[in-house]
Amino acid sequence: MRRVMKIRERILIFCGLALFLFVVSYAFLQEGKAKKIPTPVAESASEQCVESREYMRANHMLLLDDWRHGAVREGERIHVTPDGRKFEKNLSTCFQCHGSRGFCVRCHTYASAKPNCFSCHHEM
Amino acid sequence: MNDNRREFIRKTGLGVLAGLGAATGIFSKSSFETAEAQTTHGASTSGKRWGMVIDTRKCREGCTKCIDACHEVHNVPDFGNAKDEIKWIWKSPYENVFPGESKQFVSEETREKSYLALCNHCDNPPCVRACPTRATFKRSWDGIVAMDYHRCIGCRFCMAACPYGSRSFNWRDPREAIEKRDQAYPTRERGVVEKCNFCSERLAQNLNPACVETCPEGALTFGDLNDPESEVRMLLEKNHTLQRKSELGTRPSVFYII
Amino acid sequence: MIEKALKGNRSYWGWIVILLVIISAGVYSYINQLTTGLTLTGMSRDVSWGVYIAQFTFLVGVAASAVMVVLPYYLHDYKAFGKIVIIGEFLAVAATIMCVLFILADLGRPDRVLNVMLYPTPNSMLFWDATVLNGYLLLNIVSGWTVLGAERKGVPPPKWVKPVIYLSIPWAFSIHTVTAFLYAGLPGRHLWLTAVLAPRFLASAFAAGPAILILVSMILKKTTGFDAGKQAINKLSVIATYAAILNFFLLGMEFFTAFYSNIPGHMHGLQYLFFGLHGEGQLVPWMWFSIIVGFSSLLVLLIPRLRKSSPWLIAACIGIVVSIWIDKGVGLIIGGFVPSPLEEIVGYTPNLNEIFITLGIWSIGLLILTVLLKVAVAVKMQDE
Repeated sequence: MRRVMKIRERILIFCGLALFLFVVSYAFLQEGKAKKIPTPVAESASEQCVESREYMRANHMLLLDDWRHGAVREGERIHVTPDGRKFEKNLSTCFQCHGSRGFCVRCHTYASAKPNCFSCHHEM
Repeated sequence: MNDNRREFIRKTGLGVLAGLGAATGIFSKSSFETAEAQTTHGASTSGKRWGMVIDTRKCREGCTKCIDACHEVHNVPDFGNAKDEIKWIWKSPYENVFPGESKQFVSEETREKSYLALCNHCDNPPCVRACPTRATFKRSWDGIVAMDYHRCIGCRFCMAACPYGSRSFNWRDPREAIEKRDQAYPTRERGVVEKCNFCSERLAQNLNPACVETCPEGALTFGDLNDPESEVRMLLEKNHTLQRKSELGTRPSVFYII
Repeated sequence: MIEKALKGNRSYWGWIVILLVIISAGVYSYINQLTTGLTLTGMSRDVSWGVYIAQFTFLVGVAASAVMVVLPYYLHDYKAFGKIVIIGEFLAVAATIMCVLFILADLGRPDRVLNVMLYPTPNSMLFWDATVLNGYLLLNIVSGWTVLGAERKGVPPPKWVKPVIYLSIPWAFSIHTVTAFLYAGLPGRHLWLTAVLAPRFLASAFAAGPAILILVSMILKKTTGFDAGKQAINKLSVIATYAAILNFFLLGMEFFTAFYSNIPGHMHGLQYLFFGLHGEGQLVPWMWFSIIVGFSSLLVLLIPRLRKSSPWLIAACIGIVVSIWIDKGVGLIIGGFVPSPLEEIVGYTPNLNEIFITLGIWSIGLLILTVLLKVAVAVKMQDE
């Protein structure tokens, strides 16, 4: 036998649904109020970086990982760019152009990324 | 069953076992070589093999300059207690550094003196065999037994495997106990193992290790053991030297002139 | 099937609450350790493994010993183990989980534990140990749960589970052998550098494991009325007896080789543990207690009349477990580190935080065992 739904139960269910919808759409309701995306650039951009700006923005972590692997485990300490420029695989190489770790922190804070490079590497 | 067949089966069995073991990498390659191969110079033939000769006759009692220099440039913390202790190079009495050597009728001078101990950068390192993540590994190009602090999980299997007590663990945050932070070299995180790196960061700049450079007596000599013309090889040629616990087959790269 | 663990009397829930309280204390202590570091343990650069790795070693033995009921039942069709085999399998599951937790508790960087799988290193015994332990856990959960599930429905277990069970038999031997290899392959640690370490591990495991199984069965009989059967208990006690004899025989071998050869390094570890070395003998009372309790329990087990009487059997089983727990869980690890590679004697005492974490992990294991056995007993007794 099918049970007939009482009005009170229906109200409860619709309230619950409304609450659920609000919660899942909360992030979208905030549109426009979000903090501006930081776009840090090199502080002394006299030279081009080891890779294009687009590549570095998206993949700097892969490059750093590759550097780390090369320098620590393979003994390959020098990075050669396609156009023949040479860089030492070292965090301080980055900071020669990019100033300080503040450069890293701005985006990482925005993206809530928490790399722990600087807990050991405090040079710069 | 005649003897030939028995011999054949025995050899096949041994061969299969050895092959399987070596193929999976459980046994080090040299395990199945003849004994002579291990006694010859330079078992690792490709590239360099950094090594050190310590002339203990020149080492001054009470002097800790090399130790201080090393611990300073590598940001080795000093907690001031034995339980948290971290050390890369230190001095201990003869019977502790060379426990296998004879203790009978040893001259008073030898008995009373302290001897330097550090990572031996073994040619056949047991710590590397034990490490489950290859966080510690022997560098193929120069024989240094290195640590990858990024990969170490802190299981301390290498500490159990090292027969020289050369490894230390970061039981707590090391930065609490670093007096003067050297900006040129990173610190370590809590929870990883660390040890002497033969100053690989200085070698990359063609500098001698800090301990070698600081010793006012010139007691430490550093060089390529695979180069017969090197200064270390000359010293080994001219003097009778000891390696710590050479009977274990680890082939240390640190030699002592007593 | 798990819903059967939700129905219990007051003492069942009381026991669960006690365990949960100890677990909370353990979790709190572990958070302490995570935030401050392993300095909150008694370990040092000289004694760099302690109570965690010791418990791990003991529990791998308990896990492996399930094979002592699985093998006779499935391979030799020894019917008397029909009711106890599931207890053995679930004991193995709980023990293996505890092993994994003790390893995790011991790591300096537990966040990086997956590096073991990310960079597989066949030359490291720890890599193999992680592999065989996790495999063993899976084998026992799958076979135990599947067979029990079939029994609940009153149908024969699916055919595919047989090979899984057969595989778990050699696998059980492998977990304890590989665990022994962790120690036995290290140069310069004389107490561990012995070819009989793996055989001795297996012998002590096959004594302590069945003893625990007997005790668990006794507790189940008392609390739930589930009777594993007199014949099964008798058989297990015989297995424990012979394994204990073998264990002490192998220990004797260690003494003979070390002391007759008179090689100082080989004697030092045993000297430190049993007689004291250079005036230091922190563990001497423990080790002799272990020996005396072990031998007296063995004596009780050797006399059939005593072995078949419950109170004597219970006392002897507790004795065997305590003796082997001290031998493996206290002496083995610390004796391997003392004297140190530089022949210095550095003591080790676990501190409070470390003990709470240890108790917490034991309680997690007991909780898992309780829940699993609750389900098993409910299924086994559904027809009665």
